[in-house]
Amino acid sequence: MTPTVVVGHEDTPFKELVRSMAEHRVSGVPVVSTEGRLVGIVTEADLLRVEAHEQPPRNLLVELFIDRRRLEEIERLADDIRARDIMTRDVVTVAPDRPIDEAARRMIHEGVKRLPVVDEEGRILGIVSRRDLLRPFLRSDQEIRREIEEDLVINTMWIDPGAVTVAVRAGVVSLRGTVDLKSTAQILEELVRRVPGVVGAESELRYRNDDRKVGTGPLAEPRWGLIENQVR
Amino acid sequence: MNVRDVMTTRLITVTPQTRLKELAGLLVRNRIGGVPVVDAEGHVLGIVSESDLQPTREGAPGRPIRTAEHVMTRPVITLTEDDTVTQAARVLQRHRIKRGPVLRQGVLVGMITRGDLLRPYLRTDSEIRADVEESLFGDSIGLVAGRVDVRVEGGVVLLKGLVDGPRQRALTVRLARTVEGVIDVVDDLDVA
Repeated sequence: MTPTVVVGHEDTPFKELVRSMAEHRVSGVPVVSTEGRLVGIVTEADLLRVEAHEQPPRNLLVELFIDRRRLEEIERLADDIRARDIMTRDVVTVAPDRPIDEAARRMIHEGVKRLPVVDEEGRILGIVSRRDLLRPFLRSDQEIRREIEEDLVINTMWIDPGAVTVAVRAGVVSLRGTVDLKSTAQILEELVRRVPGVVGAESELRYRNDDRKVGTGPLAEPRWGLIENQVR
Repeated sequence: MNVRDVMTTRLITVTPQTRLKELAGLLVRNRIGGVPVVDAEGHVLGIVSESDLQPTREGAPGRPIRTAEHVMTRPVITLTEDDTVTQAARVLQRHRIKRGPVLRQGVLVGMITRGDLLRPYLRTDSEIRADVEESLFGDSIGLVAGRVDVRVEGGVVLLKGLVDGPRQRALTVRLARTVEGVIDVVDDLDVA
């Protein structure tokens, strides 16, 4: 999540909301009570709904491009309007200790572009945006390597960490070393491919015993070399 | 999961000669943030997004009417259908863009946006369940199909049953957790 930098109060005037959004380059402002509890949210769409459009346009700038006179119209209307008049009160939120995937699912299913993060008392801690949700895809090579070495090799596969060498470059993982069983090598390759942020994997893992006889299933043949798409 | 699985194929495009006023209307009506500019053969010449449109006194006396080719961004960062979703996310992030055209042999076949990259979360519980079962019982980690029950509710996988030991348990949970669309795993497994 991104820590909350900009909030409004119920009596914040319309114009100030517009200004905060433009200044901080955000498309939604959480509205909080004097105790800091989340009571609503104002989005670009809410601002534009002021004009009583049937379908609120998605971008103020584009709208203005179409007809500049409407800016004056909005300003005239806006003088008396405050956050409480236009905010959405039924805010979809997420608790800080929930998995990021849960936040993602909630956002997509509820059709919202941002999710305020609130604690048990309803106080706002931050906002999860779509950009935040893409973070798992963008993990550093170092993070990916740590997850493979610790979470996969040691804690999941129970392989002696000295037996396998893991290298990660631009999201592409190289595995080297020797394990006991062919199945161990195959499962490790599959799990590595599924680690968030991994673009592809090259395996040069060797094994001492083949516990998967030829012709018993789709994984019976050795799969040396590239196992996922390589970066262009 | 690859770009082809999540891209938008309902293409909205403009030509270099499309007037900006018309283009802005297209963005609003279709609720999109940008459009690719293409030639007659479907080659992408540029891209115009919301931020390229500045309010002006369009059509005022003495002012030329501007079209897509005047404001489009070039060169365009493109993707191919075979790129993985992870690669696509990295490309969008590296170039700080929100959308990119998807090409097949140089011709536009789709568009991908940040929102599209989150599509795995729209998978239904039954789709997720089928994948978890295939993952656990298909790719043999020595798990016996009848002994472990898989349920999925709202993207959360509930695993119940018997496993041989702690290593198999860790593997089972890990495999289930990394299936696309899974948001959490509840481990109700017992070691035999």
